[in-house]
Amino acid sequence: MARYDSLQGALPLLVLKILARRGPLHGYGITAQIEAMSDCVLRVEQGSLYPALHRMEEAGWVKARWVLTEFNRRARTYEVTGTGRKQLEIEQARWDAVTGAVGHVLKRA
Amino acid sequence: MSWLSRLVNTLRTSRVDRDLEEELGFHHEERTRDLLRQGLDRDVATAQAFRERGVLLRHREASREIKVLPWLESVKQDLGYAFRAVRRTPGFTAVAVATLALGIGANTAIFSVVHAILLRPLPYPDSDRLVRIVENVPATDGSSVPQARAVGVTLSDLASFRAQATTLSHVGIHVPSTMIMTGRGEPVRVEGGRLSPAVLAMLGVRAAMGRIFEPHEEDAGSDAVVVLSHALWERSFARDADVLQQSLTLDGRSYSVVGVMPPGFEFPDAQTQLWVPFALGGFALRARIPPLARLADGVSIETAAAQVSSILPHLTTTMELPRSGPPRFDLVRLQEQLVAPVRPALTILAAAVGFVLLIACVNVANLALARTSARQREIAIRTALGASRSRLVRQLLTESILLALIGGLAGTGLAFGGIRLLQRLAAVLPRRDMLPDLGIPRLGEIEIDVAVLGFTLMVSLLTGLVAGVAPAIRQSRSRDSDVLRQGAAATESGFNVLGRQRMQGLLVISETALAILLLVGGGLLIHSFAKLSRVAPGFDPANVLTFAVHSSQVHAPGTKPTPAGPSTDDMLARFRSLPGVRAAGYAELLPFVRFRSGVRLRRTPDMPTGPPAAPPAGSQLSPESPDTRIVSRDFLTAMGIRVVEGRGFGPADTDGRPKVLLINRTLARTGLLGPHPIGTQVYAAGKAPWEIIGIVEDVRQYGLDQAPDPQIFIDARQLPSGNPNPYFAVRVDGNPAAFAPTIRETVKELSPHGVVDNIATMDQLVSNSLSRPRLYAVLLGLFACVAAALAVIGIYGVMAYSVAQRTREIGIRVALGAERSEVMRLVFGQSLLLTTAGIALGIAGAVPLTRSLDRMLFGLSPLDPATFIGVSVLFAAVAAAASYVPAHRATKVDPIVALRLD
Repeated sequence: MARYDSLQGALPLLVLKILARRGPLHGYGITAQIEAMSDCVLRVEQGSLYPALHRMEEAGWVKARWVLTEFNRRARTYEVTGTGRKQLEIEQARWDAVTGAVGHVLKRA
Repeated sequence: MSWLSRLVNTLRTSRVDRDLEEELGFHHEERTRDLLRQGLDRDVATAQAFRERGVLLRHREASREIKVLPWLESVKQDLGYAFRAVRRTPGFTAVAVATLALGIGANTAIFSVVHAILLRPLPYPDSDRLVRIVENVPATDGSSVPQARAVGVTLSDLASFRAQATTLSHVGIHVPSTMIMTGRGEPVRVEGGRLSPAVLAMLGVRAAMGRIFEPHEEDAGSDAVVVLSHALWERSFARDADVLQQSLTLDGRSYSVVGVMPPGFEFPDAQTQLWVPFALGGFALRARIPPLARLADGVSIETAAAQVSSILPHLTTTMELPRSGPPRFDLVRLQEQLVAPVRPALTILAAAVGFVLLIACVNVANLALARTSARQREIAIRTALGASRSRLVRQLLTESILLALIGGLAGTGLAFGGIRLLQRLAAVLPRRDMLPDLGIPRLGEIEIDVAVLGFTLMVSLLTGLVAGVAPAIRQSRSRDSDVLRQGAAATESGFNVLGRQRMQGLLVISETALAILLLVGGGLLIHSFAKLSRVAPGFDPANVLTFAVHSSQVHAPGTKPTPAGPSTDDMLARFRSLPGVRAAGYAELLPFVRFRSGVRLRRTPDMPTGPPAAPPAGSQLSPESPDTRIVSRDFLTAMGIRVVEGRGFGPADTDGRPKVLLINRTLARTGLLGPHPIGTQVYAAGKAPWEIIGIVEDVRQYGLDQAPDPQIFIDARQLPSGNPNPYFAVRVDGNPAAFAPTIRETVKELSPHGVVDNIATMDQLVSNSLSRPRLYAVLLGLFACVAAALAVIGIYGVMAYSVAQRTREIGIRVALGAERSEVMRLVFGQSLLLTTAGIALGIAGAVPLTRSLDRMLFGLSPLDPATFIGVSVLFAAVAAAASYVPAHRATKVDPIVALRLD
């Protein structure tokens, strides 16, 4: 999947963060949010998003539910679980550590 | 998710899939709506969403791979695809399954034979410890393989041999014996065995009731005991639990029942119903019988063989054979000795069916290649949807394995039929007086059991892999760009089966080569069988019925049966007077009956000094001790044995008259009796001289493939001590088999105790003697035909496919003015290229391989040019006929239609 996607490592973090902040969202909503908030810098391929969502669902970080939209259309929405919130902290800490370390290297090199 | 829900998900893929589809559908709609909101008009928005759909579906494929129990899931999915593919192309499926069923079925059938005969141990505990003593004698028939023949031990030496042979825990002998059982209803003939108590003991099977024999029961006087087979106990004793208290009468002597063997126990064959001890005493001690032995615990067969070799030459009476060279004695395992005569042929048949299967694989691979090409678009779409290349390769392999499994199932059905057919073909007359080594040992044990089914499963899986490899390789090499250029590729020029379709071309060449190999082998065996059946037997087998008449009347032990019934000559006179009988006679022995008897023939009345020189195994008898036939006056007429010089027996050649005998051509030719034997006096049985009165045609007494032995015929009237149980031969008008009931009735009229036995037409006896070569020729011929048919289908397939692919090119050629004949030549040229390459390769392979058939061929070199040329021409003709159809279709290509194809 790597060839479609450069967000591989960060995608679960972004998804968990957005879901934690904004509450339940469907897949398209997540894509749109990431795009909007990154000023269209980050684009999430559907081919990466849905496998990631399903993996996270399997891991128990998110919970999926079918809801009806305003157009009376069935949509699958995802919300973060307790485990997911703990995972978010872990991912956040890892991200901070990595970016911090990368920052240090860039500054001192 | 829990394990359970994973499993549920796996089994409910379709629901999960539908959910995923819906989720993605929703995404797609939202995207379109967003694009519309961004001001794109509907057409553009839809188009863009549609473009993104590929990405979307790619996700679908990928999504599946991350789903629950990934491996199991994808296998299940592959199988699902495979089943759909198999159902979508019923024609391809039918041809592939039929091809594989033939290949796998033939292998299953032959493996079941090999398994039952060669691989499965004899049904006795530790049966690989049972051995026979053999003697290696130099080969006589031109082959370099020394022959092993069983060594007999004179029974007076048996005790001494046992005492010395410490490496053998048991040594014993057994001989089959037909007995008449009385005292339990009607007298019945039962097949029994006389054996040393050691033989039952060494087999290691306990009695189901009572006991087996004790060692002292082979002593004369203690031997009136009998052990019954389970079947006889059920049939004649109605499963009587008190059978051990009882006794039964065999040949007029009372035996007490000491044991009943368990069901399924057979020794040495299924016909043997009871066993009595072989009493060592009196006359019997002079018999020389090959013993059976069990190796002592912990002793290797080599050690035992060395000891036996050192003992045998020092036994008092065993060794009167000329000694030459190093130790000639050896031990062979009982099973090996039993199956040795058929092992080479079975090995060849196993190799042959292996080739058939290989050809079937190649054919299916070829079909699949053609189909894969036709499926390029489907595969391209799936690739675009994100299916990985390895996944598609696995998909193709799954399909081919599925086909092979279905083929294996159908093949198992075929094998059941094949085994029945084989057992019928290989069946020989169930008679104990026939020549040894006519049939196939352990024939009744052939069955499709778990081991065979396991073999079939493995072979099916392997077949599926092998047949799937070529399309899979092609697939893994193909690039997306190739697929996209597919349309363009069709216009590429070069009509060459070894070019663009190289893989298919090479496969067809290799299967043709294999088929030629089998055709040569099968052709040689059939040719040899035809030659063998054309051998003149020296008598006229048509319209002759033969039989023996036994009296079921009981006689006291140790005495000759009292002739209470009519004499042999009375019976003969009665048979001769029956309407429809043209001639009737009797003889001590018939052609193709196993036993031989002999006299010493001398030019002077002096008795010979010293023992006769025994001829080496398989070689002819010496003219001094010719094969001797005691016959009735009209036996030669009844049998159709022609007197070529002098006269036959006449009415005057009775007892008390000058003794006369007939000799055969072979004996006359030896020169022992001078250049003009007729009228010569010789000394044979008795003190009076015998006059040679005629020379008769050579009779093939011991098989059509055996050169005739020197032989003499003596009129039974001049030897009053003749055999009490001769074989009768009657020559009748019409079908001799239909005459059997008349004979039975006549015998019943003549004597209430008379039993007609061993009834068979002479044609049956001849045919019976050819059982093995016929079986081999039919089987190898059959496999060769299947192989050839598959190869021709392969050639047809690749040519038809080639023509279909080149329709456009042919159209252009025709449009540019090519003649129909040129188009025809183009197609035929390609097929000829494949055929000749295959035939050349096959012939080259056959030259070294047919040498293994050498010993199975009669009067034929393994490189028989007629066979080699014959099968090549035949195959080429059939292959040409098969490619006529596609060639003809090519000439019918309408250029307009062809050019419009794209």
